[in-house]
Amino acid sequence: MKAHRRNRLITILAGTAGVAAAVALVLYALGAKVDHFYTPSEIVAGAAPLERTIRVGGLVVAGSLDREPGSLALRFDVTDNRDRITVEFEGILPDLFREGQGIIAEGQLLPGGKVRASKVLAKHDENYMPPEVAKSLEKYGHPANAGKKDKKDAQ
Amino acid sequence: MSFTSFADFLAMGGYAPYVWTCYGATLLTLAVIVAGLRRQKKKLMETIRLQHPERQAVAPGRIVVKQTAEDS
Amino acid sequence: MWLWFSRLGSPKWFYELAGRWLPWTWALTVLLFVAGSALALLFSPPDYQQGETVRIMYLHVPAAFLSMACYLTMAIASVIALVWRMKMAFAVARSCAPIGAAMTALALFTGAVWGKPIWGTWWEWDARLTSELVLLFLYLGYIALHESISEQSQADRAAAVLAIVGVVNLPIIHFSVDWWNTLHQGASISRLQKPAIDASMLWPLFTMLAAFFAFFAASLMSRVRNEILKREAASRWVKALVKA
Repeated sequence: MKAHRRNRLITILAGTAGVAAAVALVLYALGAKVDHFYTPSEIVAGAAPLERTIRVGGLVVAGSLDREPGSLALRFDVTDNRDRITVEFEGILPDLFREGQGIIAEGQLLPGGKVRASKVLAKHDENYMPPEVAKSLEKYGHPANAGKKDKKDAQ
Repeated sequence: MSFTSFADFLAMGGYAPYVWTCYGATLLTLAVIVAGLRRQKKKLMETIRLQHPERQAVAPGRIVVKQTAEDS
Repeated sequence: MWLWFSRLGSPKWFYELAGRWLPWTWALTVLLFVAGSALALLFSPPDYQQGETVRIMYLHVPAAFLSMACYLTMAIASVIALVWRMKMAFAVARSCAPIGAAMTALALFTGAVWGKPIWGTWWEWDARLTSELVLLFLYLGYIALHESISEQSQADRAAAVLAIVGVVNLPIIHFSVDWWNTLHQGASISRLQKPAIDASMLWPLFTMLAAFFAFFAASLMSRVRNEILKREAASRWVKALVKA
């Protein structure tokens, strides 16, 4: 490669690397807190601020969904398999909302340790399969995926 | 075959508006790209033709050179 | 190899070669889309959680994948163009932009329509969604920058620098689901382990991916041919071609 071409290539690569480093620093500085995301354990430990908009992620605890008759108000518990907190919500839940499902609730932490959510979103995992396959996996277990889902949602 | 009837197929398990909107949007996007390419080519050909109207008469010998690229 | 590289730099050579390949590439595109749509809509099962909405995946994933592959093509062409001052590479980079922008818009749109019933929201300022939106603005910025400079070689060079710098966004899009707590789920097929998609859904997805890539190849070649006509309008062979 001729010298002037090599120099141009080096300039381009160095420039791109510089921009990448700058972007990486900005992203690192913004860090994980930019989305105000907390797990139930962090909230129980008192890491989340009161009366500010935060996001809580976790799995819906089986049997914890409690609908108030005659209205759209409801409450349910979410867990990261260590601690659990109660989420209050009034509105329509996404179709994917069900027991054991990973969800993200956005809202405010109340002094009593409950979260009053203004938005409840369902998070689905990266697995896609037909219902029959899911059923047989449930029946016979899936060694490759054991514990994976919990780990992921408990991050 | 995943559906038992044509009505089932159209209904998409209750998600018809979402599923069909996406398939429609994809078809539309691809069609817009293709139509844009054709229109661009037509316009370019016309512009170039208008820019050099006299060439054909000046150098008729040039035109005899075999042209391998055909339009598509 | 070197001969091939220098030939690729010849607009006339590329124009003629692409002209011969185009009918076949378009035919392959149509074939793959017909097969892919049949597989995606008729011969694949609903998902155990998402039901029939999983059929949106067969459009959303290829569109998103292509939006990034197209940007990578544009950035690589820009590097080659700047380093070797290759006219053809500038033409290729400029041709990638509108196709990539359309694919990015399609990925965002199908994602929104899919997100509404499944997540419960059309849009969320989530890292994956936001970085994909940035990609759309990069494409639009590239086109706007290129169009705003009237001198061809200056426009080419300025836009190429933007394309190369913007490549930083690609790893951010890809790894956003691992680096942040995103609403968007993790990667399903680019993992090193076994894909997290059942075989009955993987085949329609691969067919659709192939269809989108065939479309990319065909539309890019057509677009580059147009770009060549525009840039070589004063050359003898183009004039002869137009007259014929």
